[in-house]
Amino acid sequence: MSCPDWPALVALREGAGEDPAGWGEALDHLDRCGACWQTASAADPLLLFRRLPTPAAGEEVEPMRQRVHTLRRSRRLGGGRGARGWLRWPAAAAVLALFAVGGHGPTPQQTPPTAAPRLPSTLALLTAELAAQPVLEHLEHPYEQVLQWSEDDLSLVLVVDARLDV
Amino acid sequence: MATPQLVYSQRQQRCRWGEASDRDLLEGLRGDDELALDELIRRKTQPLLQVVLRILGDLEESRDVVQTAFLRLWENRGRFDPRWSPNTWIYRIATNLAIDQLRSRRSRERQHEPYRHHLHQVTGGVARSAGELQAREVRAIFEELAQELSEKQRLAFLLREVEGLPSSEVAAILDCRESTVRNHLFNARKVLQREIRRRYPEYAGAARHGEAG
Repeated sequence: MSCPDWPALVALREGAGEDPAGWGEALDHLDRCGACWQTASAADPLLLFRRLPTPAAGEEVEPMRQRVHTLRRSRRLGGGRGARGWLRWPAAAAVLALFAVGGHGPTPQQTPPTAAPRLPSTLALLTAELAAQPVLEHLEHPYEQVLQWSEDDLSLVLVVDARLDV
Repeated sequence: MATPQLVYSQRQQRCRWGEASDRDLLEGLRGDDELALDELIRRKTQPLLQVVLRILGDLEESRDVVQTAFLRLWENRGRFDPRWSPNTWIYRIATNLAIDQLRSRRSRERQHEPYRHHLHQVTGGVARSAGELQAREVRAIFEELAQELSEKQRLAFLLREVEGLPSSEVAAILDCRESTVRNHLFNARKVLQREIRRRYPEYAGAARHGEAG
């Protein structure tokens, strides 16, 4: 392709408000032709910005794939905004309700049960969530535990007694 | 021989996604298929990174934004409406994140000194032709002049004039009418032309002064 008449081409484009025929080919030529830069940038100085930085082709894909999957796994393990995220506030509310009711309810058994106790219904719902949380310490009874529940914007320390039945 | 079968199966699935359309890949994402995500990353990393890099100007920051865009795509895979153009949806997520990043960066930065001072140091005070400028220098000039643009004007200019996307697609990405895109573009061009001629006349108008070859 020979060097296009840039002033005419730019005037045509500005007049029409859209790309004239052959505009794409002219730009391809411009990217390779040093002489054209002088006349083209004089006719439309904004063509200079065709030289804005471009990432190296092909080098970014595999590192990007690894970054995305690593981040995805870490979010899933952290329980951030994953599928379990919606459970956070209802679960926290349920646990608080559990303590409120438990504090005014009947006194728990003082002797350890001989068989594994039936999990209270509220706790049963929360088992999957609570099981994933780190146990900070066990209290006197093996069914009493102190758990920490940390999410992006929520951090709760829970004292859980599995014998409570609400 | 469970392992060889699994590897073979994955390889076949990868081949299948390699031939699928973008729309099929998003359907695959909706079915929780991680290999479809891999194929989208393979196809879209380069073009997305290019757009975001041109918005932000920093490669590492742009990588973070594109990575987050893919993650958003995965996390919101159930929300994709098959009536949308896949490209538009992906570009919209990435450009919105880039603009958020730009805003948070601006809030951290003070008004920086015009690039001219640095450019004169780099070139030893000798103005170079537009053809001799390096990409990073062009980037710095754009960054300085684009301070005069609104976010929409900046995006419309980059997507339409630099990336060469059609006005209809730019409108879909920016979630506005084509006439609005044309308006943003007209104003962006006017401001940038005025400012480049005022601040960097050596790169804008050589031919008018009889310097062109």
